[in-house]
Amino acid sequence: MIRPIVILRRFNSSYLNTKQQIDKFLSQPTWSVKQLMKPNQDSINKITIDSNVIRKMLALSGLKSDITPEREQELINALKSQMTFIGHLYNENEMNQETESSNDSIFRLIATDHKANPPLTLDTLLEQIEKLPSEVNSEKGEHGFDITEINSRNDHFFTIKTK
Amino acid sequence: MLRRFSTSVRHLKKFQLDPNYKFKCGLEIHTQLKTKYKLFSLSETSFNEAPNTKVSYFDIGLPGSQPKLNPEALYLALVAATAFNCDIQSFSTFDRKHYFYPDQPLGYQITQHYHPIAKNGFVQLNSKFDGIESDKIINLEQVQIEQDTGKTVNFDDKITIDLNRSNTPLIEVVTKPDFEDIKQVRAFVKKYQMLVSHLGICSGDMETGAIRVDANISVNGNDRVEIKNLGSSGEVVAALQYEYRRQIGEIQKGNKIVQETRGWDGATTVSLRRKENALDYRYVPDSELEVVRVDENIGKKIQEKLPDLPDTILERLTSEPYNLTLNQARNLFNEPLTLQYYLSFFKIYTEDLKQPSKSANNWVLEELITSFAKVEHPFDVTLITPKALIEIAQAVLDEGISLTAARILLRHLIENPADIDRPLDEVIEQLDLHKPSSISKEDLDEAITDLCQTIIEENEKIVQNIKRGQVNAVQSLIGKAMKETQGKIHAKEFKQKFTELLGIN
Repeated sequence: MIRPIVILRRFNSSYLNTKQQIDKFLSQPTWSVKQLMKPNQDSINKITIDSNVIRKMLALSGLKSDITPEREQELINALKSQMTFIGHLYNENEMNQETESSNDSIFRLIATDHKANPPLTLDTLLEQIEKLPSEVNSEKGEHGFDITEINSRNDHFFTIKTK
Repeated sequence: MLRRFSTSVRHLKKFQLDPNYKFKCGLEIHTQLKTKYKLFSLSETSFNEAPNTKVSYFDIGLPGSQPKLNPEALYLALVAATAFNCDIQSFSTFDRKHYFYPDQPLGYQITQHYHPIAKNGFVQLNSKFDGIESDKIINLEQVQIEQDTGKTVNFDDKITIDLNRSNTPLIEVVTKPDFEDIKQVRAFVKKYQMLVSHLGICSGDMETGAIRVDANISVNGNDRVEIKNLGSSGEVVAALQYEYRRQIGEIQKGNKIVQETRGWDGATTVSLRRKENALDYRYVPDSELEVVRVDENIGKKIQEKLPDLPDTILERLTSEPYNLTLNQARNLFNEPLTLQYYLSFFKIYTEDLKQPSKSANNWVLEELITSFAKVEHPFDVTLITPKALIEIAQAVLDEGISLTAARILLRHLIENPADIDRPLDEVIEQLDLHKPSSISKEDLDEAITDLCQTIIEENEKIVQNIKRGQVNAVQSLIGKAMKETQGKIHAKEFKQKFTELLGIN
């Protein structure tokens, strides 16, 4: 987190006055993402990802799980690097926090002005229902549409696989 | 055929729980809401329409389309929550439940995982109305709103999908594991079905998949097994009976009951997946749907508008002044128009005409319905109005026509609806149904004697039977006499005459 400040300080000085200077500066990075993701044996050892985890993740993702042991090891390594990287995104003290067991509060939609709508009463709800027929929108395809426009193979049915 | 046979044989064996093996069960019931539009789009809900003709861009998961909650679905879910005595939550949310399946175009189902719309309800099972031995309360965990999926149709060379059902609104009602025997489960499913269709929450048709049940069953406190997707109360009962026996069999063999999900194939339960392969649904909030906030009094307001619930109606119909049998009350309850007809006829007949309730019940449930059946016409409450039936009943009370004549008149009117609008007297006259009033008592007696004698002569066999002691056979002679006179003469007069002529004691 210190590096941007260093950059800013340098930028403020007379160090970067010309285009060439800027180009030169940018062509010599002082750190890299790779470096950040560089495996630290200690943290890698703490991460346990085995064959079962990989196969379950493949199944949950709807991907094929008939992979070679080499491919499996590659995936394990890749996942471990990603977890090391994500570890860097937390502050030192957050790193040791327990894993989130619930996603309840994350990415919950909030009103644009941060002010919640007034609670719905029965009358408001019934009024909303009354208005529905006038809200049906062709632009949302709500009057129906021809699914062959999406894919000509969709003959009455969506077809996801042809042997 | 084999399957049907084995199922029927199993049903013939009377099922009983084994006291050494404690049955415990909880249900999850998925109920399609009877809305005009879908849950998060305004394409129409449908059943049996041509494939993919009732879909919007959102229903098929096209990128860029967004969900918007349909207030109809929220309203019906709130009605259900109120009817199930739940605590309606003033704050509820929608979440995404991820799993990959062709009939789920978004890759996730929108449901209410973290904050459901209602919690903590109950349904009271009643020993009087629900066919169980003693009253029982089934507690409910929660009611949540969620989307239905599309349907996958597999042909030989390809997998095809119909998304008409996709995004149809559902509520999932989760009970506590309070069921202690299968009769209670059956009673609950039937009661649930009756309640949601009575309140217009759902069509109530299990056959069309409008209600689908998952049952969790455990025996003697062992791990529970979930049986998915049961489509009728009969299937629920058959699957639970089978699974109870299967688990006892495993326990007796010394095997451990494995926590798993099973399916019902019509004859047996089949393992689908075990706990270690349980799906991880990776629930996250739906970032495109707002929190639902409802007024804290909304349940009370809905309660005020709720019609009487089925138990209240059955209780009323089986008590004073109606005194119907439970079966009669149930039949009327299932036919709201007939119930309405019955109530208006009953009111006039007992209050204005001051006649006994038993006779009122007889007019609607026996005379009227039987008349339709006799002429093989489907029962139609709009044909003979309560007022028209009152007029006919009044004619019988005034002794203008006999009950038999009234039956002939009813059948005539059903078959000739044009005559319903004519003055009743005119129709009675036309059919010559009036009691003979212009002839003297002696002449009438002579005519009755002649007719009875003719009938006796023409029915030698019956007469012999009567003389041999089968006294009841005289009813058959009376029936012939009534038919001959079109009910113009009361049956008791014929009975008296036959008794006299045949010398019966």
